[in-house]
Amino acid sequence: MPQSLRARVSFGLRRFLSLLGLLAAAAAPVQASVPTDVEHQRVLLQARVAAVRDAMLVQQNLRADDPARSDRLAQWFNWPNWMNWNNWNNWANWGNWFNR
Amino acid sequence: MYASIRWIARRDAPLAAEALLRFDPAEFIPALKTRLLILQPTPFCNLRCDYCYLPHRDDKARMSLDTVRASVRRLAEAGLLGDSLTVVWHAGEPLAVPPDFYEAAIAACTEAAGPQCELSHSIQTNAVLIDDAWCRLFKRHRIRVGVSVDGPAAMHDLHRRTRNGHGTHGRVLSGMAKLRDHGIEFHAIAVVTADTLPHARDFARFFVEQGVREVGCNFDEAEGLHGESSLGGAEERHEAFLAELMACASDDASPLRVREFIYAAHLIGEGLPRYQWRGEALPFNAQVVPFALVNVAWNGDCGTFSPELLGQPSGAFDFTLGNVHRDALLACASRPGFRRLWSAIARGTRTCEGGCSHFDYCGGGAPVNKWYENGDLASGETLYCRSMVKRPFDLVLRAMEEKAGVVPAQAVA
Repeated sequence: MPQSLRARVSFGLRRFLSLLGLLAAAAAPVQASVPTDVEHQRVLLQARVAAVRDAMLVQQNLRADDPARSDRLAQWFNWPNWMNWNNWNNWANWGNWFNR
Repeated sequence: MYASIRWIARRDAPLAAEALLRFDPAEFIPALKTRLLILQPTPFCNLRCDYCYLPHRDDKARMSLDTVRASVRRLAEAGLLGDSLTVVWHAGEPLAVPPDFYEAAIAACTEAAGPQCELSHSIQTNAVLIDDAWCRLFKRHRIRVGVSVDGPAAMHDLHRRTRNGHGTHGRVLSGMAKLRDHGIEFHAIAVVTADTLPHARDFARFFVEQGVREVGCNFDEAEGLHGESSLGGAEERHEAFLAELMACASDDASPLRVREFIYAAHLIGEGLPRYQWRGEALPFNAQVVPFALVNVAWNGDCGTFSPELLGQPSGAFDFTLGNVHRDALLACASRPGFRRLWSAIARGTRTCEGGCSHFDYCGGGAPVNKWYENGDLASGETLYCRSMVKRPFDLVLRAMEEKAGVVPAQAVA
């Protein structure tokens, strides 16, 4: 196929697909006010985390703003080896950056 | 208990694909500070691990002290130095450069940072070159040492080999023994491949027997030269591995701390810190916030965001934003190349925000994994997200719910 013809076919195809995308977007129902499945899952996850925190705080008689609450959470969770975890800041900052 | 549940409205104005963000550090609250400066003393590595992502690892070039100094000064002049900074020597085998280099380089960093900034140094090494001289250096400068070791020999030697193809496990054990002889505490980072997954207990036992108290699992990632992860078709087995590893780490008699579980527990206990940008409160993720991490290659080429991106070839983006010898960091940030890169990464964060249930506990994933797995920095979930973030988080949360006797919320009216 001559180069110019190929370019024209490619251009036409892209225009067609672009138009198709616009039509599909226009035809899609507006859902802005309807919670998506992901939003639903996110709220459930937040609720689960809050429930665990609440239970731990109550059982340990801790205040919600106790600075040691994550270590107390680990203690309560019966992972005593997590206590005295003093590298949290380093590890949190490093994340996964020490590869290999 | 769930009375406070409410729907969070989706953002009405997603970033348009063609919009280029303008970088202004004043738009970040709290003020933007670099937490981690990753310096590449050399691109060279004495090993040839089969999952390595680094290009140029045959290149024996070495970072000059001028480059070290310029790297720290560029942070200071940009106002990015806070009251503390961790310098990480990485991205090549850092011990391929002699200890004398670090004596001078650490002094150069201290001088350039000035008295207001407390510096700490970290090295991630394959450990095969560790000797008494290295140990003295580590102790003298309180350098935090991480050893890359993948578990018992049968797992480690499958992938971590010399340039002649021989296993390195014995030499790594010697290096670790040397550290112990000098009383130097160290952590380990293990690349977990599909070969490791059936052997969680052996994996955990190895670290306990070696006196390693802290281990991070880097689940095999597709990045750079390493184009495919062995975990791609093994996600159920990955979940089983995690569950068994957690059982090992939860044993009262076990002193092993696994980074991924600790991280998840902290996220559950404290949440992820948030920062304000243009009036929005976003969960902090250092890989998507400009200059939270700064990465400098041996020759002064610099970048930000995921460190693994620096020096990687790409037709679409220039991951090298400038060079510390020529360019002020904020000048780099005003260029179209940076703005294109940041805009794409910011769109990726929006994609995560709109499409991921774990966004509040992650803040936008890892750009490098989006790039290599999805071919699109503006994309969302990756295998990395599932293996490093979501699955460990879910596992720890489930275990805590059982302990608390909490019935997980299933539906919201």
